[in-house]
Amino acid sequence: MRTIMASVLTSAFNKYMEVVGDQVVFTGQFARNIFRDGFEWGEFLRQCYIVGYRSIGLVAITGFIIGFVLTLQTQPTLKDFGAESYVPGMVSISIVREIGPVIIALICAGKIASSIGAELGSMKVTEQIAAMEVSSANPIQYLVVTRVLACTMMLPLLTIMADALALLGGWVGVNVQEHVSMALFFRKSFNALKFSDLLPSVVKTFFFGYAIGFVGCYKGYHSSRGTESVGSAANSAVVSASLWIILIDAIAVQVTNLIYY
Amino acid sequence: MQQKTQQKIKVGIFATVMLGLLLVGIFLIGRNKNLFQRTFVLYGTFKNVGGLQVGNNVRFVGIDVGTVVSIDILSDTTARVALRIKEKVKPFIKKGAVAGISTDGLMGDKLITLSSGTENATPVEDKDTIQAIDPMNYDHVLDRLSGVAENAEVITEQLAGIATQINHGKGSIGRLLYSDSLATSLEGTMTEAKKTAKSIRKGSEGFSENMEALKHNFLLRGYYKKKEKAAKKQAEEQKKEADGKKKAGKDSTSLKVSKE
Repeated sequence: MRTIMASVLTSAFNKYMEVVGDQVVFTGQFARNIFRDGFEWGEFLRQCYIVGYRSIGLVAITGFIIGFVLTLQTQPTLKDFGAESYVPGMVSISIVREIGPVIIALICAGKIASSIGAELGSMKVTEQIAAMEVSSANPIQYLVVTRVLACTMMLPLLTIMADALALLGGWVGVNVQEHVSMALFFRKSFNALKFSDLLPSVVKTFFFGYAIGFVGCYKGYHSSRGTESVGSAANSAVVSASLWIILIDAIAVQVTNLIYY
Repeated sequence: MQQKTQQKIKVGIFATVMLGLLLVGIFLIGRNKNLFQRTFVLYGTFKNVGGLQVGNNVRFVGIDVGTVVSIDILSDTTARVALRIKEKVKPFIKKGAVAGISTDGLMGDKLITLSSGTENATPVEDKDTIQAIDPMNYDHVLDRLSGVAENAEVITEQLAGIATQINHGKGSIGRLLYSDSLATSLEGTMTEAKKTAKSIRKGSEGFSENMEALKHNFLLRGYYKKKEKAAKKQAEEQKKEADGKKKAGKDSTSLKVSKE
């Protein structure tokens, strides 16, 4: 019994280490191919279009509603304490520091990581990746580097847009019950913000974008050969990317506190 | 090919607009911290900064004109606070300006308030040190209050002891309030006092009789007669004077009537 347990644990551990090793190798291949000649600018821009431009609608609506709802939820409580004038500051700090980057990254993990995972998974299943390798095209450079970099570059931009629209949503939320001018609301919002709020949150979105692109590509690139593996690659890409985002966020908070406070 | 170009343009516009938004955000935050305008620095030395933090506002005549840029400990009893203030308010802050630490609103944010100083003094210079008033030390006040409370406790304890003793009829006040014997003796004293008053009255009556008898005694009679005569004489003189005045008044009125 004990030997069976030990063998099961050993095989699970070995499998886990194999995956970790695979990811390390994949990261190395990705890093090497960034600086290799023949960077696929056209594909990179196409991926920027798909990842960034095509996500504007979803991110804009999400950002606006986050700000709107957050204001409506906090306003009555702050009103009870006679601190209603702190609503803009509270909304701006919570949106810019935490809620904006994390929610938008999770939304993008659902939309982008799954689509990358499914796309590369189906290419793997239909042996298009193998065909590229055979025809001496570099699939890592063409498929992985462009997608991961596009995610890394586009997620900060999407987060900035979501933050701006969340503040707008906050202003609309305040104006549901009261009348506050847009200039006053935005002035109070930016009065409460510091560079130590804005810069770390922008920096961590690069890591979120990288995690989304990397996990999506890895899961798709390493999917099995069956048709159902496409679906499982998309699914596990979303789950893993979401988990990575939460972990990176926790680490980012600690690092920010170490640097600024 | 044309579709690819359109995609590139869209991505370019998106990236430009979002980077522009980021720059606007950076500018707006930086403007609040006075990063994009000319400023000067003033110093104030406090014994206790009372929770003031870097980034807190500096207020002058009720307007936010700057921020706290650093707080350094100079010695074990003094901290130097550096204030970055907008250049355009420099002419209004005079040499005698005083910096104080106060609280903004109910939420307790600390801020520095500047008073303008004497009217005719010259404006402050960059890196000047201005006078500073230490904020109220609530711990010190609480310490004093706890001392007062201890004293009050001792006093109330003593008062309670006194009240208990009075209730038990101890001491002068207790005996006065609760002892019957005192009241009885007081009643006795009053009776005795009444008797004494009666006998004094009798004594004084006897004394006046004796005095009357003395007046009629041949040894003292001459003295009392002389006294009577002198009194009569004085009364007559007074009467004469009064009559003379009445006459003079009548004469003056008769003269006025004749002239008419």
